[in-house]
Amino acid sequence: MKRRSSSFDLVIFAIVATTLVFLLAPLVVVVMNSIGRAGIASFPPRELTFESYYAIPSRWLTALVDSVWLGIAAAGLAAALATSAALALSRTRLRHGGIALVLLRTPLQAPSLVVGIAFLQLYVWLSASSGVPLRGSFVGLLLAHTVVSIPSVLAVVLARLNAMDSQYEEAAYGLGAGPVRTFFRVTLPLIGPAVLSGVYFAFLLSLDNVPLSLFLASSSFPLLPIELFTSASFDLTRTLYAVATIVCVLTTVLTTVAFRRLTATLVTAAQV
Amino acid sequence: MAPLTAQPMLQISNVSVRFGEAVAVNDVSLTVAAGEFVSLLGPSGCGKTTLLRSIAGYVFPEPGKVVVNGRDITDLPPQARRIGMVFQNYALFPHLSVGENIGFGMAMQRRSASEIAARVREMLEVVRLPGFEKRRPGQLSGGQQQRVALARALAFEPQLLLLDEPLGALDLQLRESMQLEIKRIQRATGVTTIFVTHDQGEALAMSDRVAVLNAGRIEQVDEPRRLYADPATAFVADFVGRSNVMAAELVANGNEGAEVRLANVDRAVPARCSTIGPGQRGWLSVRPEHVHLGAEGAFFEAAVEGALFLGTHSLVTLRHGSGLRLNAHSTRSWRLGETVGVRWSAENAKFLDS
Amino acid sequence: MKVSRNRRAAGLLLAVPVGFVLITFGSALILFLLESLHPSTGMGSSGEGFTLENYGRLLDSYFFEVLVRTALISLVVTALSLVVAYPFALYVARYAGRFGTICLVVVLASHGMSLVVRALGWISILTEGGPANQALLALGLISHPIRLLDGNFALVVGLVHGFVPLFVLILYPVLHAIDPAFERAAEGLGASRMTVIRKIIWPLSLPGVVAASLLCFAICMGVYTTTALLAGGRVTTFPILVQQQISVVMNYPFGAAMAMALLVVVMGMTWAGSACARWYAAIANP
Repeated sequence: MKRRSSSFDLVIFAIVATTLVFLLAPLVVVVMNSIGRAGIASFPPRELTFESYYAIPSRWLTALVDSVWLGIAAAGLAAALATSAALALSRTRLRHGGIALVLLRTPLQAPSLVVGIAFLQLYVWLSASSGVPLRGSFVGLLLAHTVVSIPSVLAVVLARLNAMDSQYEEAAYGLGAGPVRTFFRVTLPLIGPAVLSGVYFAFLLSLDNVPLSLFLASSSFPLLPIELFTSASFDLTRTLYAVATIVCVLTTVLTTVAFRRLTATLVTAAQV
Repeated sequence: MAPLTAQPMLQISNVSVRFGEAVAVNDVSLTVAAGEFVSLLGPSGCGKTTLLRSIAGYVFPEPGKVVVNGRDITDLPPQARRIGMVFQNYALFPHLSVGENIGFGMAMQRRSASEIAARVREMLEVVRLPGFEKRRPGQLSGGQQQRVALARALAFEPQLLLLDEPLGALDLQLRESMQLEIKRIQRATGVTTIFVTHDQGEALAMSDRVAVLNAGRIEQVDEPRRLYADPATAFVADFVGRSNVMAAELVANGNEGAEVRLANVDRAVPARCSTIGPGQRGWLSVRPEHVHLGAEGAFFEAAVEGALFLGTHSLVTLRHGSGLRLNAHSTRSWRLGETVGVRWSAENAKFLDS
Repeated sequence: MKVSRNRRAAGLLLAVPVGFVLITFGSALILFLLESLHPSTGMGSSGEGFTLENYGRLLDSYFFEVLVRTALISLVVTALSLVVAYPFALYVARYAGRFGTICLVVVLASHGMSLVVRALGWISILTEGGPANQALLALGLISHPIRLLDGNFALVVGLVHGFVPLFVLILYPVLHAIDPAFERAAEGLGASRMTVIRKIIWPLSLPGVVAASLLCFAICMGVYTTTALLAGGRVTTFPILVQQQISVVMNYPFGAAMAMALLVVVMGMTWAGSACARWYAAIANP
């Protein structure tokens, strides 16, 4: 069989290799540009230097920290809300469960630009009618990012709960554990990996969501994707590529750490 | 029989369970004495697992009453019932060690760590897995998981032990040794046990009494031997052990015994029956081992349609000209198509009106 | 009864997240819908009363043309992404061993990678004098550098790069779940690997393909970041137009109406996608 299909293997391997190059090329170029001495346009870089990293303005570092902090807060809050909803939806048959599920999923299906503008309208109206200044504030951003993060966590946690036998929870009840102790001692340890991969997806989505934050961020709470986006539209400096490289490395490290969990989740999600 | 003077350990009265339109358990009553081992036996979908789950508190009867040890627990949630349950797939918590699994119920009662450790050790002795505390459920074989599940259900000193088809996931050989093992552990601890199974051999071998369920109702509750020898209904006759169940009509019922006419067979045959008047339609049940083959005194003749050699005997399938089929055990060999006489003795043929 | 107590607890568990989304996102959407019904009075203000004129303006040939262009780009991107992703996912899910794991890490990493960072990468690859032009010159395909950036080409490349990982992540579990016994049975009957893929694997993976394609198309209709960075104002898509109405023209009512229209189109596509997947699943295993 191997003999017969060697040309097939060769063709498919060529396709796969080309795809890998295609996927990785822009990331490699970003890293190279951040450490090359010559201008952006010259590739490959001749001399290597980390100069551009020292030149990163502190505003961008603040924005990076702010963005990470916002991402963690939004993904964490979304994890709590989504897990709560997933428990209710998977363990009891509620009358309006279907509608609730559609509602909770909508913010991720809607274009982020539309969600961002809708939140802008809400905040403008709120500050005009009651003086609550949510636009440009951390809380304002947190609310919008949490709403968009809920569907990512909900999808994986619900898939895990539906695939998981409710006998574990029943066994815990039978052994004398109430609902709260059953959740913390049995359910949560079993769905924990799924919650974490949901948080991972939600965090990365939040860390990068330009259209959602475009109208909601302000100079008082700068966000990295917005800063990068705005300066990329004007001027391509090597410092810009240096910050982009930091984001790139951060994402890759997160993915590598989470890899085992993620593939397990993928397979579970497919079985449902 | 269970002593009727003592207070029953479990008393189920007129329990029905509905899932929307479907009635899973239909007006079931059952009383179980302390220390008794009772099986709920029936085909899949007969409501036996639902009945068990209503005792454990995972489904709620409407209407009906469940009383354990004199206390009405019908409306209590499972965590307040103190009833040990072994699930079909064991449901051992995969993230906890064997010791933590067994000690879970006691930890929920906030017992001291040393007391829990001692009890876990004791339970592992009982189920013959000493020193297994630190293992994970995933590292155990099916039979070992079964023992741990049993130890977990018993460790917190439950009032009742419920077993939901616990042997279904094991292979045949292991199943037989686990039957003996469960029986031994039950005797050693003296715990009142309800055992759900669809395997009649399992139920007959292990139980003090067996309740046969069909379509949400209890057909008969009796000791294994009586259940086999004296089935109350056609369903029980066919489900418990194999039986030839033939449509019949009672023609005479006197002191010398009863006579029934088999549908389409032009002859009355002797039977045994309780007080039912002639003209009654019903079923005649004769077990294959009680069907005698041979010309002498035959009621009617039938053709040999097939024979399976089973070692100690052959299972012979016979066909009467009317289309009636019946099975018989025989120690000699038969040619296909051969005609043979069929008879049985009256005490082995029971007429059932339902 | 205990049953109703359980249901009430579950109701509360659901009510908190649903309430959160309703109060924030729900009220934002309602305000937004109301805004789109007000007459526009220009420069960030809106008039009293209700009118449908904002929606009427959407039918102007210009806006309609942009909507069609956006749909066309999404269609091309969806088709190209599928063509690139399917063999890759097939290889990773069914033929690759250890190397497949590496491929999957690359896919996950690029899926999670910032769109801004990716766009920055494509800008420097496609720019005049960048590696793409250098390669084309070296191969003798062109005699002097050509403009690859700021047009449909760069936009499609950037978008396909964005959607290939999504396709792979949806197709991988679908392809992984197909029992290898089918393949061996077909090969035993004398089918070549290509025939097996065409006659066995492709039909069995079709629900995944349809679901992924519709999802990709729907998301693509609403993409903003990549378009803004790679098309440099030369290709106007519907999301760009919405953003312009809000930030530049400051016609909030009309911007809101456009955003509503975009929302309806995208949600409709998403809904159609899941309905289609359900319908296919229903006829596949009755």
